[in-house]
Amino acid sequence: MGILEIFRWRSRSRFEQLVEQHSAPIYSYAIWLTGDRCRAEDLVQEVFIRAWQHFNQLQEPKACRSWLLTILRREHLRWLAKQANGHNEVSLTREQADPTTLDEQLQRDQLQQAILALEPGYLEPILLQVLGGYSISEISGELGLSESAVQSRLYRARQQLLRQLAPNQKATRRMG
Amino acid sequence: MDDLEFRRRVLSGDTHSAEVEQAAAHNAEHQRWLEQARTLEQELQQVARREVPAPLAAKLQRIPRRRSRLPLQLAAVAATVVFSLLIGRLWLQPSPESLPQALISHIEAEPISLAPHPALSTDSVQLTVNRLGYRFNQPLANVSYASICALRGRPVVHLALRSNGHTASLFLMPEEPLERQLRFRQQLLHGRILPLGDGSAAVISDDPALVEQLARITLRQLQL
Repeated sequence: MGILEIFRWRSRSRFEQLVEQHSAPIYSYAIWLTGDRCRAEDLVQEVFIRAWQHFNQLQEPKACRSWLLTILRREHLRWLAKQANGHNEVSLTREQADPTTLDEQLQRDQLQQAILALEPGYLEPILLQVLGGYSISEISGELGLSESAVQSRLYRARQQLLRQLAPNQKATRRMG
Repeated sequence: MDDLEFRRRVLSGDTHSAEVEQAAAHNAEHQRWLEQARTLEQELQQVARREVPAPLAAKLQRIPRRRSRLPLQLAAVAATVVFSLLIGRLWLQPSPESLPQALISHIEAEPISLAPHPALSTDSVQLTVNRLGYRFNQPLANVSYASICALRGRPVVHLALRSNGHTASLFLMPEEPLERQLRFRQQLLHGRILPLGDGSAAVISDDPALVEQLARITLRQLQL
């Protein structure tokens, strides 16, 4: 095996690890952002094609998810700019990981609907926090908002979720 | 930390910091709030996270196949320069033999594209081709599959069409330049690759007549 082959093999192996580690959160983010499964799949493919094309710049493992999410958001915004009629036609289908009981299914459906009903501007901060593991300061940098604005949006987003969830939800049983 | 500040911190996602835990440790109401906020976080994690569909996961894993873009080491750069000086410009172009093979391999690796899906809406097809800057002047009929795929590490539009019991695959490849059109036959499949703008388009089918027909339609109806 030549030196180039070794580099190639190592790069592929690292790329496969990158896909394995980050594809689920990136896909999840895409599906919430676009509200459309086909569009989300296209978007995720574009993100990872770009990741491969610039793989030599992705040396810091901790920065990978942030880099991928930034590409995802940028590509999505570019796509939106091309679409004169905007987006937010949310047609998200129910495709949760198998819940163990009907009760859990119901709770998840309610939470999903509550997330979909979040006011514009509240969804992305909470997705970056929940799926991307971002801190308030990192969300602030990514979205170009002040930290206090991010904190305020996160607070209000959760308040909205709690308000919209039915009183029999586990988390909201006594919080509301 | 007063009650309002505690709630503000917890509801903005701070459920594990030392300060919040300390504030909850001596206040039963705060403790209860914190536990419930953590439950909400768990539920959010579960609901927000989606599993990647298996076909998409497979496509993502195949992106590095072939034409790899490696972290270029100095030695590799030097080798490339020497190689190009010695072999010449021709060798820097995609090999005419390798592109057909890449296309056939891609179809084989993506059997879902050949499955008898119902025809997609013309809007959906147009949306997919638009992604890479193409547009059909007239809608393309009987498209059963439309996706952006990676071929040799580059994005391509991959369409599948059905006609008279045969399926044809059409690839629009904006980053695969081609000087002359090329016909090939491999593994019982007939193919034709055409220069198209700065890139190329390929039509592949087991029915040679369908290849010719689709190639004509593509040249006539596709706008760059």
